[in-house]
Amino acid sequence: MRPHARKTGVVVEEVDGEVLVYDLARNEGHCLRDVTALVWRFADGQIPVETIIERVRERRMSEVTEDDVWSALERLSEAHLLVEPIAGPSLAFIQTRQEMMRRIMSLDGTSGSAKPAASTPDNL
Amino acid sequence: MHSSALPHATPEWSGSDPTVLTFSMFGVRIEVRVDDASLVERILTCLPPGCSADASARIDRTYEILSTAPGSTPSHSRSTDRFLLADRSLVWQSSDADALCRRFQSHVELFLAVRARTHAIVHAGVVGWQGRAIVIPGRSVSGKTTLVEALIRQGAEYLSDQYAVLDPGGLVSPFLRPLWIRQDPQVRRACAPEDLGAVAGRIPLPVRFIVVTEYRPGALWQPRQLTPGEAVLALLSNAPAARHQPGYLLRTFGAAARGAVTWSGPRGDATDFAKQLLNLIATTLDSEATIGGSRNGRHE
Repeated sequence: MRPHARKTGVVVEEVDGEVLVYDLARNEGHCLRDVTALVWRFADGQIPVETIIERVRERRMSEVTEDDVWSALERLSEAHLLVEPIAGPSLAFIQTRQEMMRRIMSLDGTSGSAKPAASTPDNL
Repeated sequence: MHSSALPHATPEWSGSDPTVLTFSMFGVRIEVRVDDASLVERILTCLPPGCSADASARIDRTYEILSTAPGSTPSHSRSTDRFLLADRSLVWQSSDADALCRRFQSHVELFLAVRARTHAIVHAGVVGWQGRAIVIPGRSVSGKTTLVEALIRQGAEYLSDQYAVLDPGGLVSPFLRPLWIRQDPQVRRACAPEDLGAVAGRIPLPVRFIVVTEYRPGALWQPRQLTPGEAVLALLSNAPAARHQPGYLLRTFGAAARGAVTWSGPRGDATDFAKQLLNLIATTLDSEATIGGSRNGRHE
């Protein structure tokens, strides 16, 4: 799989390390940061996911798991920021696992996931 | 009441029949044609604060306020209705001149907000506090006027209850018009800021705080601090021009958000919230001053 981030039909602006992407077709703004921002940059349709993972690890100089990168791809896909949406058994597995983790974390009220603010739609 | 921050000159009246007025604001030029001379003075009071005369030939929008239906002749017109047209399209029809004028005013302001070339416009209330601007983005009925009123009763300077006018450097200019205070869900009354004991802002201020909130009965304000990127999206989602010039808006909002602290979360009563907000701002500024002082001390 060679994910391809949309670079046409979008307006891009960087603010303090965050990447703001405005989708001209859907009229939606997105704020990408950390791993998601890096994946969006590296996903050029030419390199496989494994290489993207390596490059993200090189840039972050910290432990980035495969799940982190797949999660970023999932978020980009859901936000329609990939030329072709990603799908497959591995993603289904991760979605299931993430859903399970969300439920576990929300039970004890310690969820650290970034929820979109009410007035910042599609914030990633 | 006019802002000294934005260019101002008396709009030009043609003196012809129908009366023709031209003015410009934010690099947008508007022509207004009125066929009823008794409405001219009232129309003048509806023009955006700070608009100026403009001799350029380009017209971006023509409004017409007619006492006869478009296409009909006066002798055939029996209705007392007046008609508001924008670029020959009917916008509003009413026998109530005040309602028509209010509709004209809001239509002009929204058109300017969408087409502005020199500034980025956001639906927002704005007040000044210790030389800095607090911007409260929000659509109509989000409670921003109520909040602006509560803040100026706490001593904040009034800049706007409707639009934040941001320049490319991230400064916000006053957009001084009367506050539209909602007396009940259906009725609002215009109120001069001076009547509330407010001082009107006269110069552009740097955006220092952005408060993304809406009224929720009984809510306890427990704000989450947003990143600059999230702040930009919050401004963008309240910008009428988002679909038309997103690149320009992203850059301008980025300039504003870089130097600002942004909080998000629902609020309860406006008066209590205003006090809580100003306390938090004071704490934040004190904290920054302490950190800055410590850093300076170490450097010395």
